[in-house]
Amino acid sequence: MTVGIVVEDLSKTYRRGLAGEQIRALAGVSLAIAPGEAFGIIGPNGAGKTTLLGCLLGFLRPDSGRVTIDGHDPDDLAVRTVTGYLPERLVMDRWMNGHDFLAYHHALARLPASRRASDVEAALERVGLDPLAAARAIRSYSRGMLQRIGLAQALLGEPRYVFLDEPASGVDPAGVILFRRLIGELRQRGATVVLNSHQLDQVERVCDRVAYVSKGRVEAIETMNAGATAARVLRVRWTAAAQPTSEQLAAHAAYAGAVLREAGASEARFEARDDATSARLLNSLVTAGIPVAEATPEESRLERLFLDPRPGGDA
Amino acid sequence: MNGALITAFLRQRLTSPIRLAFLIIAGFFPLLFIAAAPAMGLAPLADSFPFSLVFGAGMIGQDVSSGVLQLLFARPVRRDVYVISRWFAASLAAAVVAVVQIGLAALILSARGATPEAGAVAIAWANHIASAFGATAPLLLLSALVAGLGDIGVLFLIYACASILQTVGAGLGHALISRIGQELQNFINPTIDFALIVNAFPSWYQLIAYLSTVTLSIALAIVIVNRKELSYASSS
Repeated sequence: MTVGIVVEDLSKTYRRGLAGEQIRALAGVSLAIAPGEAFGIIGPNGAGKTTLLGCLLGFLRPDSGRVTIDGHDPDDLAVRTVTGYLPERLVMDRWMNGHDFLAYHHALARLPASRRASDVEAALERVGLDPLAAARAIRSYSRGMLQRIGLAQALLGEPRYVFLDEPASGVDPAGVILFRRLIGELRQRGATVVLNSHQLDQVERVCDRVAYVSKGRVEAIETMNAGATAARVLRVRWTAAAQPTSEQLAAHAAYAGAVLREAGASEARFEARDDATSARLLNSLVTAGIPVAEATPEESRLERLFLDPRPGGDA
Repeated sequence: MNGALITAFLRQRLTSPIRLAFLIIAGFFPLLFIAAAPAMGLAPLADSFPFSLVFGAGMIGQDVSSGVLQLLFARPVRRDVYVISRWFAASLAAAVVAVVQIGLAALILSARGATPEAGAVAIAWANHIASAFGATAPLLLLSALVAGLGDIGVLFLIYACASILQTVGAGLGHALISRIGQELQNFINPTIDFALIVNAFPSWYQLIAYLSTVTLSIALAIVIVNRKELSYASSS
């Protein structure tokens, strides 16, 4: 049996309007997500990300191609028992209170009734919802509270596969930190996380690999913990004590194989073609006694992926 | 059937102020009528159709339009089980209210000196239970077809068409047109008259029409829900 999530040549077309206009949402998407991996899906609006997630969850029927999770179809009940899902649109049973909502989903997930009360309490505590808030009707919840109760239901029963659609959208900083902590916990216990998000910094922080989807295709898959091979502009700032000249900075850049773009009194911008070049440049500056206080790329790796996606993927 | 789905559905219905208001109106006014005219016996309690409407309207359509189906079907819940649970829960609620209403009507009649026979009460209970489970089935089908509370609109449209056809058929003396109207009406409100069965004159046509309407409605609702695509990407 193939473990993990396997997507083979997935295509999906929607028909819209009275004329039946065809809109191709997915055009031959193939990828594989290993067990325990945190996998991000990014791309512009209308790229096919939500359609891809819909197919992964078995909510949409592809025109061709196949999705399997641990060798089963995604709508197989055996898969559903090990799956957690947080939708982007936090539409829940608004008339229920938070506590009852979790108990309801605990029952739907076929988790043991004997553990229901303790599991619900633990889930509420995990997402930082206090008992008073849990006793209120969901219709009175703020966006942040909805996100928390949504995350709590997605994580009920310790699912092995967790699908999160824009989990940190519209959430306050405390919620973002909570979200990152929960992803960390999921990864520690070996759960597979699929994350669809526009928040590139969050995706970059928590994912092992990220697929860039555009026009229904996977244009690139970036491995986040491997060395970056794309060129980037590096902004280097030093403390006021140092006064390197433009010529000195250009010489350090040339030594490292980088190019000095712009030099100021306390910072400079260099173009480096990869991680190794960046490391050589910084080492050269520090060795020369320049007190480097900060070195940051002007765009994140995923922002660069948006700007210049490489054709094809490594899936 | 799924106990969690049935319980949650009943709780939702019983905490909806609008539904409760309609329930009180549908349940209370016939009792007033009986109290005012005890000579009519249990006749003013026609069937359970109003209760089926109160509990069943939007039983699938509201889940579709609100978007909660995505979360629900992300769980290990079979879609046919979901559909049957919805039908059963709405029917059960309608049946229980109808049984209570008949019981109260019998008490009122007794208090007014027109105590109904035990057999008549039992037949009324059986008829109303059958009516509750029957009327909810086509409503289930319409709710699977139309989002939100659109099923009520379609139901009244069918009812209006049926009435017009019957009137036109009667006016023109055209039996076929009248019959089509009558069958349309039977479709949206299938009933069984247990008095005929008790009196050894069972109407097999009525019995089969009732069972086939209920079965077909549930089966079609299952097919429709099974074919539904749930991602909002498909509608955006």
